[in-house]
Amino acid sequence: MKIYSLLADKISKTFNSQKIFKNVSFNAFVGNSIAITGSNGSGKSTLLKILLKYIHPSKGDVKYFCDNKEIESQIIYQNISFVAPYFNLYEEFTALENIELAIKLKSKYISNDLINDELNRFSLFNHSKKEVGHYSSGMKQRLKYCIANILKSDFIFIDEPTSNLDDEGKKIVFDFLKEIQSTSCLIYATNEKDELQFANEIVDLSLLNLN
Amino acid sequence: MRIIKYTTIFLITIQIVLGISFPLVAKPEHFWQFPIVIGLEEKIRNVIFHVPTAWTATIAFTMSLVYGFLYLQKKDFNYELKSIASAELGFLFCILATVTGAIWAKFNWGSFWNWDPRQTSIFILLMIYSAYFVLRSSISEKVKRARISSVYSILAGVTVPFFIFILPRITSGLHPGSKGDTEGAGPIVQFKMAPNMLTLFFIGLIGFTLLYFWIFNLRYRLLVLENKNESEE
Amino acid sequence: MSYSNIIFLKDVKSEFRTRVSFNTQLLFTITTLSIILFAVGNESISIPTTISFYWIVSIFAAMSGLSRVFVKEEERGTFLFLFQLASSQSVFIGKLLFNAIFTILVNFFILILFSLFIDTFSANLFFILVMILGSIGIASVSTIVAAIISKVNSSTTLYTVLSFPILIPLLMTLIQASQLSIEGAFFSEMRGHFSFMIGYNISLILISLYLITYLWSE
Repeated sequence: MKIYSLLADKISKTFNSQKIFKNVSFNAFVGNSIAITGSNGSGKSTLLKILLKYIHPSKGDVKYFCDNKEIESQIIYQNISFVAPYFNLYEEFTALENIELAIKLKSKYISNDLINDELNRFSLFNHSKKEVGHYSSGMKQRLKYCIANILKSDFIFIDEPTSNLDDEGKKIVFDFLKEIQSTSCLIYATNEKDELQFANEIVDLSLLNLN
Repeated sequence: MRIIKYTTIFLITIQIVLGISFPLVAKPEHFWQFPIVIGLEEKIRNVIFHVPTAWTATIAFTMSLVYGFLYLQKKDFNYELKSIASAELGFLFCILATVTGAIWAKFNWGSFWNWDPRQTSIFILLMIYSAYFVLRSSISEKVKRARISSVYSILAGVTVPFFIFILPRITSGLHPGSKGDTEGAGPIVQFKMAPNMLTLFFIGLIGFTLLYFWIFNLRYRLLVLENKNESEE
Repeated sequence: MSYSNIIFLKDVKSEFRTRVSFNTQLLFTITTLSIILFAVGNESISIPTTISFYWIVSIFAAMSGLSRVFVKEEERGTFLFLFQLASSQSVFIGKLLFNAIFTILVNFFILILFSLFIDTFSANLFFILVMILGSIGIASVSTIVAAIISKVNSSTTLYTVLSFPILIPLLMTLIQASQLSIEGAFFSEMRGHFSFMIGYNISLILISLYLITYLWSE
């Protein structure tokens, strides 16, 4: 079993001369999942995007490791999955086509039966042949989780885990989080107190805020 | 820096004074007399001014590109400031080169603009500079602006060797050194000039290059101060 | 299947479903050609003029539609989905392939329309070769500039402003080479032009592969 870990080292972000946060450090690995909390506007999503290496930090570094050997920035995408309300899947494609795209690009070949099982688990089996554009926001969110679960990436990032979801959706996500905690390196950002139970370490950005 | 400053003033003064005052005679006997080239006569004086401006515009662009590349590699904002200073200066020299070239074109070939490949190439360089500045003005965030404009200057820079060196070779044109010109084929253009004129020409070339470095240095220092001021607000 | 091919096929499938690029470019081509035919009327046009018109229509169509490959990912919010699935280079090559094939098809369409409606225009094998190389060049420039503007405010004006200076050397060579090919020149006369176009395309594609990484993350 390979050991994957992510090291956040004194990350600071300034945007247009405004300091968002300073000196955020932690070490995430399977068994030490991280929850990022803070009031609205404290920079939770920005921090997540920095961890994903989508945004560059103003200071500090984010490093990915596999068995203590650093993973090169260019290929990190191979090991990550990301769920957030602010990106979309391909709405002109069906759920199955989106899943097929994801597994082909990540070279994970999975049987149709397994895909159908996963769709079932996220209550999407009956809608699998419909274009995603016709889904409700809750269904779209569940589909993103479905894809993340199929891919079983080594690092999973989630922003606002239960946004757009009703109670049934929330239950599905909680089950997912409980399970994924022990198989992948989990980092998520949330405002909800009852979602903090899945984290071993909590990074509170409102404490690290300046002013 | 002071050495550059004074050398520049010295060289450019020589260039301007001698370039304009040395008479053109049919059979030059002294070093202060230029030979008359049939068909060119007084217009040859333009060469001493036009070529250095075009040369400087190209150098400035190359420096802007190099600094842009260094910024992308090292993320040091000073490289970005140097890149901007070079680009602004290059834009200025490019306008000068286009204008002096158009003046030459009017007197030699009849009209201010001919779509000759070399004349077009300075125009393309002018358009690249303009596009670069338009791109910069559309991004408000400092770091993003630096990154994206560096990317564009490298992209545009790759095409520069194509239109400055190769295109004039392939397509026939009026400018010296094009396909139809049997005499002027060389990496840039090799004029057959009298030795004393060649010397003055090179004085001009070096003078303009030093002028570029002088103004670049001033502009860069100003940008550093402006940047420091902004960061402290 | 290589990752670029997967991205390429995804874009093809997406285009089939939505047909936005296809419709836009088709409309631009027909509109521009109609304006030209109307303006020319019954007069016979010289070969240089015909060639210029051909490439004007081609560039117009390209500027109207080729930026979509990257702009639509940003506009429709799917970029972060792609970001976690593929590398910057494979996405770039996939979209370049899409734009190149699309441009070749559009230019073929323009070729057919020109052959039908303009008498002085008669394509031959050399012209088709020039057209294909030119299409690849136009697509290469368009794709990397599309990537640049998709990260800025995505305006089409900016796209045209940025693409045009880089396209001029290619256009000059294309126009000359097209003219030579229609006039029936031998290959040896066009050798310089072909070398130029091939060298130009290769340089652009290589530098784009280097630059796309810097556009990928903020």
